[in-house]
Amino acid sequence: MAPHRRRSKLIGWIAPVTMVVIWQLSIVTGLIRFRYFPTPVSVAEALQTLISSGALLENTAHTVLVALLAWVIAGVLGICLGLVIGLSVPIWKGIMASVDVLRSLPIIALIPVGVIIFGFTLKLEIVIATYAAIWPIIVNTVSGVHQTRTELLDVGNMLRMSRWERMRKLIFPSSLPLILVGLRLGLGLSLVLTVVSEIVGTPQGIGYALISAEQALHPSEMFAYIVTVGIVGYLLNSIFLYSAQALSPVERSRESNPS
Amino acid sequence: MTTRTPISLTKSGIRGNRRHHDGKGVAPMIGLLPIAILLVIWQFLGNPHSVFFPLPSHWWTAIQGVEQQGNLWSSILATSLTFIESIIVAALIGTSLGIALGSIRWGGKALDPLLDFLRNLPAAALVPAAAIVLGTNTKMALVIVVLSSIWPILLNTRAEIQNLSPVLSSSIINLRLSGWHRLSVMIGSALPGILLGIRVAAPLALIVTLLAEFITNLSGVGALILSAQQNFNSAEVYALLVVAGLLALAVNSLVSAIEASVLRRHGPST
Repeated sequence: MAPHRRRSKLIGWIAPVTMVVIWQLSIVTGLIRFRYFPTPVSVAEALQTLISSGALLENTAHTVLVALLAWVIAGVLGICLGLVIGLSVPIWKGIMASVDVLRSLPIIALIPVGVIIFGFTLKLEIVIATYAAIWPIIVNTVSGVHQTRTELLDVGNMLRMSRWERMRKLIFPSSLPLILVGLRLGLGLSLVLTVVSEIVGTPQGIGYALISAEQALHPSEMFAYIVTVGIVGYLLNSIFLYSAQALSPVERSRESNPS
Repeated sequence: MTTRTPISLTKSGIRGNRRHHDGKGVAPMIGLLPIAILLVIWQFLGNPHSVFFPLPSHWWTAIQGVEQQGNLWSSILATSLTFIESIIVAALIGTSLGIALGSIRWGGKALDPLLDFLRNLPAAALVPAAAIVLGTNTKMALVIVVLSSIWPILLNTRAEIQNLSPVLSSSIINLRLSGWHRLSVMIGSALPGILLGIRVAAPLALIVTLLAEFITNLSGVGALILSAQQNFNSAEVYALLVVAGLLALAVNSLVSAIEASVLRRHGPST
């Protein structure tokens, strides 16, 4: 098994490396001509400079911490609200349409409202990222609870489980796969919206560094930050998937939830 | 289950799971009540001079002001055009690439890491890059919206092709289907995945369209929101937020309607 596995890992590197080589060659040979399109080599150089100056680490740490904080808040609130809405039919009837309206508001249009209320502060970043991340978590928790099999609830009745026991031992574990999907979507959104609010206003973090590099006409520095955001997103997603697999064997790979 | 129950071929019918609650039902309209009540309270108990929370009636006056300046409808049109063009281009490229990548047997392992990386790249980070490389124009917006909304379509199409039922893929081989016939069978069987991908991609495309306008000040609803915010005209910001929300609502219902009509025509069993 081991050599096979190593080979499949190597195969995974072929496509990205090819792409980078094509990118480099097409600029060096003049195949594509854009004034501000850096070569991968110059992006790597910029990345190195930013790493050695410490700016990259500082900005990345800020963005990641804010994104994670917002995600944790959204996760706790979202799962609690989702369980309440999912467990009670009257509450579901009375509130779900409002949830659907609020979650389909384009989050970008909400940022200016946030700016007016909070100004360009850390609070703005956290509130915006939390707001964006909470909806998939709520919606997936609700549908997770709704998809609990009736047989399972019958078992609960038969064993005379209390409400709390039923919830902890039956409903929550059976909705966990969907809740995890919601948490994963929320994590991605939280990172994106943290970066967006930094691009738009808050003068800290990767987003701000990125937009400053653009305005200073330093494309290679800007691309270095873009690569960083990509790597951070990829890592957060992988770490989450890895720990989710440890928690629950089923992780639906399809992206079933728009928002 | 009694023996008299006919076996239905819907997905849940095959699995035979009884669910606690049919979560697919559309939430009843009465659920809008909390928002309505909130707005009424806001209108009657809110502070009419508040900078942060202007009264809903002031939003209406603000949006009329924008309309009189003549920017409102042209901005909505610009945003809608960018959105529609992008989603069509994303659907065409995403479906073709998805079918192509799904048909290559070794494609999964070789391309997964790259696709995963690209898909996780936040669209927001790409907007400034596209602006500096391509300049601030509608072509830039198109590129950026397509780049960020193509993934759900591409990946769902690819998954659908990779999970093609063995019967279907062996029939393709046994009947020696080639060219158009083969392609049309593949598209037909991937249709639910393609449509799901488009449904996921559409709201994303609208958000990125607004974002591109917002960050680069390209004319559209996003730019209107930006200028309202920069002028600290909060009533106008709230009003434009409602406009953006209505756009999103229109997009969602349009996409659902298209999905329903396509699936009805081509049968639900694929």
